[in-house]
Amino acid sequence: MNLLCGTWMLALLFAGIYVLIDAIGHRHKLFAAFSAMHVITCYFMVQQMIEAVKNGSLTSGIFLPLAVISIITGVMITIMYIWRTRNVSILSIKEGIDALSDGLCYYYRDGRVKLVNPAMNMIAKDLIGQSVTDGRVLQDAVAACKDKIIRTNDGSIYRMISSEKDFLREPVIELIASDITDEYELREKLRERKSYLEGQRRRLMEVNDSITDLTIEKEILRTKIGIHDDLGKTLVTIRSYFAGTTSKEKLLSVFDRGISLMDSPGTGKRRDDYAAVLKAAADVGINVIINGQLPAGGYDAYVVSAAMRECITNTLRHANGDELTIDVTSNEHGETTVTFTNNGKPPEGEIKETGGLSYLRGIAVQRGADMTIESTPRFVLKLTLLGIRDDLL
Amino acid sequence: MEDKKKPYKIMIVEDQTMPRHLFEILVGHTGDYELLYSLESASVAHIYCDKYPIDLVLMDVVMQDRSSGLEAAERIKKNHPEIKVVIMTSMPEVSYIERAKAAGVDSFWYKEGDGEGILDIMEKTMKGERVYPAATPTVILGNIASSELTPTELDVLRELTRGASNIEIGEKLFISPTTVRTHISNMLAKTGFANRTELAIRARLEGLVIPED
Repeated sequence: MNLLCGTWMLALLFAGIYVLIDAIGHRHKLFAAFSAMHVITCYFMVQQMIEAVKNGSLTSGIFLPLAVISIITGVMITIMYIWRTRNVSILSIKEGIDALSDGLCYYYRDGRVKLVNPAMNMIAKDLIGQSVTDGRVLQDAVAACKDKIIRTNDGSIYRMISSEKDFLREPVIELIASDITDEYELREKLRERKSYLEGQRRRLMEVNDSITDLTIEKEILRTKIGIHDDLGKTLVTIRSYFAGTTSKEKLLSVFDRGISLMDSPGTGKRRDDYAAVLKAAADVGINVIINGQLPAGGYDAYVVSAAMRECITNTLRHANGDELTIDVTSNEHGETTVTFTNNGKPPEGEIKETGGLSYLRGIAVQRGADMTIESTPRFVLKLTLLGIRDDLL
Repeated sequence: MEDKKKPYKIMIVEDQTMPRHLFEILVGHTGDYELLYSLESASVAHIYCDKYPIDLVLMDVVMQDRSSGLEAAERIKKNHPEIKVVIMTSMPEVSYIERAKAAGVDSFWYKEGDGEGILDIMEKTMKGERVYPAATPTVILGNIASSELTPTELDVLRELTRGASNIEIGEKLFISPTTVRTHISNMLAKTGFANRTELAIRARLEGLVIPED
């Protein structure tokens, strides 16, 4: 019985000491003070029990104070447990930081480390060969990495972000290593995929151009097949003539058509940019005088030939003229100015840009070219081309 | 309809020499038509119409110099509504019929190679009829007929053949890139093609959709 009471009293004493230490650790002053009183009381109780045992004066009256102290100890432990689970203490913060998979480091400007977690130390070992002892050394090593992205030996990828904070009026540098391993891998896959798709897109655009030529060839082939069939019909008609079932007039008509078909010119070569519009001008009786060298090929030629068409239309429909003059000049900056005038009557009022002129301005602007139109004293259309290479656009 | 005297004055606009020559022969062998001009480019067609008393224009749609027969037809009809325009094409591009109607084109003809059907079309057109096919020719695209694609899917497909990205397609058609992706996925599911590139190439080869340059 004496032994049991003594052991129980000692247990209560140690429990009180544990609660005291925990209260001090969590800086809970009131609870710490209460725990201290509890410990002291338990200590004196133990002392008295030892004296009583020595004197042989230990009685059953010891059970009541023993029970009271037990209850108090139990309540203190419960309070401590509840407080721990419901409150964030410095220790719990530290525990949480240490458990993070992201790296965390706080250091002063002179390099002294205030706080660093195990994840950051692990990153530092891969990066600088040792744990963080001087924050500036780690920061310099991070700055040397491209985009401040670090790949550790285990394949993890971290993005390092640093900023300066104020801690108790003293500047502290915060360095965070965010684990972006999954995100980085996805981004790399996405980048590869985009590069692949971009390549496919370019190929598709090239195919699109060649398909137009292919389609034209198909059309030519279809026509040739039709002509071949026609010639075949000619042979059948000849045969039926000799059989007496077809008239001479019919035969001659079929011959005539067949000869015309065989007399057809070749498929022809692609003409230059201005051939169609110059031919059209000649066909409608408009003399085109060109002073200088027109842009050869590319988008510039496309714009100039469109301007020629509009000016021919204007000369024919509105100005009642029969001559279109085109002056081409270039300057030292590579800019080409093309000026269109005609010998017809001047416009009756300010020219409104509708229809063809509006379209012309649209394609000129797309090219970065400048277009001006004068209505008085006579019609003048001026295009200024910047001389940008088509392959650079 | 005004009863014009024959022979009617014709202008042919066809960039390919052989088909153009074939049409010239066809027109020349009838007493009803007189060929005034035969052009290789639609871009200058309106200039001839401004100058000469043309009664009917046979206009191809796709030219090698990238000029558009439909745009040329629209300009001619705007300035000279009395001139008849017959659009000819071998492309089953779905939007051509609607665009031709919107431009005021009088008749529309799908080329069949021998050209004999065109004379009937011309005769009816000069009599004042508007002759249009009942529907666009159907082409087989993978596992389906082209008629199984919705109008929006065809619009997306047309832009796709330009090599446009989903964002660019969405901006052009005023729909979100997500919607574009959905339409492409639906078309891939319908046709059975492996990817969008194959879909675009097949559609382009068949002439089902032709992007505007």
